[in-house]
Amino acid sequence: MDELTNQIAVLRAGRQISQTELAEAIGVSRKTISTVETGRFTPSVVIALKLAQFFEVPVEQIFSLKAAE
Amino acid sequence: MRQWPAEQQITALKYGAYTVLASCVMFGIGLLETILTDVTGKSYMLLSVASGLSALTFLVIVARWSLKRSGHGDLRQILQPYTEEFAQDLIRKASSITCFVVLMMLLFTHVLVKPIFLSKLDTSIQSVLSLSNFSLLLLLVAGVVWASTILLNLREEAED
Repeated sequence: MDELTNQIAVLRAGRQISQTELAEAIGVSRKTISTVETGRFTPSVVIALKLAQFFEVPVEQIFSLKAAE
Repeated sequence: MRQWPAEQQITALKYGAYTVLASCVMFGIGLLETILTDVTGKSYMLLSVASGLSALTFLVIVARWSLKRSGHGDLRQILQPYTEEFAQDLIRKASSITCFVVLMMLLFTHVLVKPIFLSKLDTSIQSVLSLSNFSLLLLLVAGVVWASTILLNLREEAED
């Protein structure tokens, strides 16, 4: 099965914001952000779009598929 | 009705799991006391004290939750109509695991315990395995599995 990877931690570091600040900005809990970042939780399209809107980048730049070996 | 903040929903879920766990301990001690009294015919002071203490723990958790004022979602805290995505996903996961465990227990009891072992047991032991005791045991297991799944998944991680 393909694995979903994301660049949230990198984008967050670029903007120098914490998980809590990002969570508040897009209206989710910090737990959601931390579990999405670590790949333990796959978010819905709504959250993916909110993240893309917040970072002002296309969704594909945040989330990508890593083919299984 | 004002919007229920996402962070408060997670807090409500966590405290909800703690209250379920505390009530499971309370009813678990009650069940143990019933079984022991049925088998030995004696009453157990220690278990009564433990039951009282677990009831007190339950009250402390609820009071702490109220005093912290961090999970305020009014009646939503009881009805739990979570809108937070992670909370919804976690509840689905915990409920699925709980249903699976309860189903396995029922199947195990129906297929193995009842026809094979129960007939070979002493009459006093058979009375312990009554429908009410078994129902309570099922509820206790369900509660412990549900609450543990929630709490394990909500373990705090350091913010980076």
